[in-house]
Amino acid sequence: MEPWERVWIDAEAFGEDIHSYINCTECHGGEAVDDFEAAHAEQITPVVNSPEVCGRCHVDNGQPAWDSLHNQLTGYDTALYARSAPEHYGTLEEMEANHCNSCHATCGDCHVSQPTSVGGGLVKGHDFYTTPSMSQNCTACHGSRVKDEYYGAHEDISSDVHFRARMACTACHVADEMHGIDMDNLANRYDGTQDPSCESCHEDIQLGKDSEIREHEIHQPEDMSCQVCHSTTYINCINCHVEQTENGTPFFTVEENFLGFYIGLNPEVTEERPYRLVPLRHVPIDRESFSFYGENLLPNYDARPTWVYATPHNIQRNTPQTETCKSCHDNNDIFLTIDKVAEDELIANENVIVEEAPEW
Amino acid sequence: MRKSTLLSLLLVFALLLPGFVLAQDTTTEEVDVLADIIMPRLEEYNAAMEEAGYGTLKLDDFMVMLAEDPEVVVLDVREVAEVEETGIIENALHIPLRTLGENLGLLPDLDATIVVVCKSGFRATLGMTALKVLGYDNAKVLVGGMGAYLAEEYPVVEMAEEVEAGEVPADIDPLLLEYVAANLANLPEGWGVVTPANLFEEMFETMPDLLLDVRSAEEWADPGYIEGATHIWVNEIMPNVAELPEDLEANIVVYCASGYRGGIAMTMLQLMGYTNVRNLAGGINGWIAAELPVLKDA
Repeated sequence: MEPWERVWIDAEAFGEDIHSYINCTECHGGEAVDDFEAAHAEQITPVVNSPEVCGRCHVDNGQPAWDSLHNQLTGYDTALYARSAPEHYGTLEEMEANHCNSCHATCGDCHVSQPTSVGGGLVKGHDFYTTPSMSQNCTACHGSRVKDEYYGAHEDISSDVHFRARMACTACHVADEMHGIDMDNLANRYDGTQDPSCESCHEDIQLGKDSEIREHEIHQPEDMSCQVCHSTTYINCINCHVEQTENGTPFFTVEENFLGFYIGLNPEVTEERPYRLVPLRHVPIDRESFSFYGENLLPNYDARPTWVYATPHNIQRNTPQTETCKSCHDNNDIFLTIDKVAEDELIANENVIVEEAPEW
Repeated sequence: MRKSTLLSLLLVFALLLPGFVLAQDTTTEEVDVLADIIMPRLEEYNAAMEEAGYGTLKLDDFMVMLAEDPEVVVLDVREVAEVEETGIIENALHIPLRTLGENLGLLPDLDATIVVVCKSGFRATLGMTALKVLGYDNAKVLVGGMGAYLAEEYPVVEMAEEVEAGEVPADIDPLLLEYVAANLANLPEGWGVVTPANLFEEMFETMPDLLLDVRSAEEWADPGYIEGATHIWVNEIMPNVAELPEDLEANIVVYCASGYRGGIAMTMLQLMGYTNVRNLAGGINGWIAAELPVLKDA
């Protein structure tokens, strides 16, 4: 977007939007007076805060959206705090305030502007829109993994079959999920009900049922997630480090990223996700990720795996795994075996490492 | 002054050239269509080009657009046999390019986003430009066409769905539509494509009357230009019509970097009445890829 587009308010078009009946100051603060200095004497907030502003009218969505994973980023806290200790939580919060705050998705980040994590800016001249834009909202944050996989940006790897069927993110990830309706106190996005699930559309071909697909009938729901067979090579990242420049600007570096596909043991088998095997993605955590802010901030680093449950968004009907039974059976290459795990991460990942591929 | 002189000249030529008058009757009893309708519309379209862009749409962006916006209209302008051979994008309209002008009733309103596709992008650019001149401001062309789409194994269906024709948008001047439709219907065999090798060979015998480079000044400077070319940036064709040949049958070859702006310029020239305009396939990129010579100013 051009810089002017980010701040341009098309008065004529906005006049057609129902929100134009609300005074600017209702959402952004300040004084509605005909004097610049006086009007801006109070703090003006470009990003409004959901339960107090949007929630006044959107009563069903305001508070849940505020509490949702999208806004609270609880998944990050869950992972970080589990690897840390209470005495370091304050330091980690300071780190998060510097490096993660732009990731918190407000109502406006999906319904009027681009997320601040990609520089912000009004998408349609301050017109509000009900359905977020896949390209300007969803993938603005979910870029390096979801976008690149879904769009097929990695060389020689096809885009997701759902993308090819013209499905935008909101075709699966509907409003209630995005707003966190009936999804209280989730630890991360793989906590609670699996919604959306593959089965909600592909009801007739569930594992272990009479589907007339031999492979689907042989394997049971407890054996593996759908992605084990129907996703393909995805990106993995190693060793993210956060720092600040001399003048205090926060930045991060990722030591390495690589493409690969690794089936491992499900780190958290639940009733909703009963699978023994799932694809595992390496997340960019490292013992020293936050050492700029203090020593040994992750004393319980080994409490969680660094290879985590993944649902790559590059679903294909046919993948290397679906070619023959021996694509997986007797094929250690495709499994996260001990030789593929860094020595320093063996303890952290002991519950997800596969001893060897299942026999044929 | 230049503009009014040229308009008069064009009118005189239109009246004097029997073949041209037969092919496209530019005058009615009340209105000189070329001078009073076409030229002003081309000026308007050309002036808006810098802000509106050229309308090229890369395949990746096209796929995102299809996923995000169910209202996007895909318009396939290939011939019937081509569609039968490869299939067609689901929900696409199929209107062969030469019949586009007489089938506007199949298209939605003027403000709709219409992505025109053909095999490679060459014909679709002509179709897109014609639509833009008619007032479909959001017409676009799929870069690489069905060739690029199929190479990625994106899905197709066997045939286009039948669509009931509606009314032609009332905002389109019937005389403008009649003129543009005739222009499309009379597109030459081969669509005006000239390959780098063929053009180079021709240039040994006869130079075109006008070899028109429509790229920007920066592109003219680097990677250079074809010897004998005249430079008019595509965005500034209409302010520079005085530089164009007086003879509407002049042999004109247009080129840009890859062929899209050349296609836009070719359509504009054809709408001005030029009857022998071709566009260099692949533009100067194709020329350079064929290891043909380019000049650079010192």
